[in-house]
Amino acid sequence: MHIYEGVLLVSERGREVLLAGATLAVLGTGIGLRRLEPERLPRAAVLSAAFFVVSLVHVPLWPSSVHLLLTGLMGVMLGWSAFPAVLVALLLQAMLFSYGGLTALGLNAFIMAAPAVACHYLFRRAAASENERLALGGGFAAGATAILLSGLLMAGSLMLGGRTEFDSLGKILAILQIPLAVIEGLVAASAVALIRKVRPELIAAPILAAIPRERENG
Amino acid sequence: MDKRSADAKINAILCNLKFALCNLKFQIRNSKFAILVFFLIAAPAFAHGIRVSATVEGKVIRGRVTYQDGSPAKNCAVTGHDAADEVLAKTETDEDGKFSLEALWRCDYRLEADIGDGHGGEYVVKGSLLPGDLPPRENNPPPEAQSDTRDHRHVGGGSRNPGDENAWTVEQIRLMQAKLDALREKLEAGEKSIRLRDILGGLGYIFGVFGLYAIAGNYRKKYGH
Repeated sequence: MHIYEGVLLVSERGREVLLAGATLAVLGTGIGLRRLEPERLPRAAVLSAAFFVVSLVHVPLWPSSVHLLLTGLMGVMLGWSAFPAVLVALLLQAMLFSYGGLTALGLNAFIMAAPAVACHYLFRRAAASENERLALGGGFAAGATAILLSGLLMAGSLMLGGRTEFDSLGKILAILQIPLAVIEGLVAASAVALIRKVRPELIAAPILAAIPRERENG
Repeated sequence: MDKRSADAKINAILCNLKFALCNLKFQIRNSKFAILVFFLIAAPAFAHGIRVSATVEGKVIRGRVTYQDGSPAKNCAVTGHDAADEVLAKTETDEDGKFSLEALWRCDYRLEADIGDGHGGEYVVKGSLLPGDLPPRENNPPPEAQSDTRDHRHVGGGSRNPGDENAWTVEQIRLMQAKLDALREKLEAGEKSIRLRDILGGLGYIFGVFGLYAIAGNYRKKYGH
């Protein structure tokens, strides 16, 4: 799911796309940092670490290979703070494993974090619902939608960048994203189920800030 | 070598599957952290980057594209570029991750393997390894300017002396290939261990960055802004 260094750097339009992606990523990260309350920092760190590791687990699937992203889950649990979490993980991936690359860092962060934010607004209510089925459905939808949106954004930026030769391959990959989206949805749904049992306050974001204070007072 | 690495891979996959099964049972009973633990354990077995390697035999560039764990990258597009980034040749890898390209020019071939989703690898085949009777590429330095031309000229049979053509016998080249393969295996093993360290290091960085941010936040809170 990473656009790697040099793919878009060669053409004028590609550079514009890279610059636009980087600008949007900076904006998103700014908003994300403003909304990142100290109480939620550990959560962002853990999810960032999970994203970092999970993106390295490649499952071969003809003709390419896929890896989970967990961005849907990040969106539901972090909201806008998914931006800094994704950015940090991507920066380290670019530096340690040359996934993506530094020039494509901003665009990659936008491609992966923007769907997370969208999922936050679309599915957080459902995932935080009292009704277990609705919560699981919300988790699944968040996981799957994030992957599909990321795929769309990636294909879109490649085409905007004038990489027409990605056309047919892009089509194959677009089909490939569907099984990945299903898997990601299942993972997100089971994570939501787990969190609901163990620490329900992790998903219901507004409650989180209140709970520690109540505990402190009581 | 292939069989051994294949065996090792099957073992690793079986091990992971067993572990996953164990985890699934555990998860059904207890359902805590099983998913995360599975991913952490599975990471080194499946994790990959793309590695491209190639050698020259006459006018043909032969090579192989593999994932980090040594498994072949099947049906992966490979393109050869010149110094000006122009595409000189295109091909695809077979079931074994192997590919071959015919060199039409005597210049550095930058081989780019792309498995499609943004993961790819590169390898540069020096123009000096290619036979001298191929036309030079204009934007390339002339073959005479390259110092190591003499050493490799025989390999391609490119020397203008026909009697000299097989100065490096096929047997010798094979021997060399075997030695190179062994060396590559060693290198890959080394890289793998570095990789696990990188993953752990990366995790440390992530928590460190967020920790620093938390400290900064606390500082701001304490001294008011």
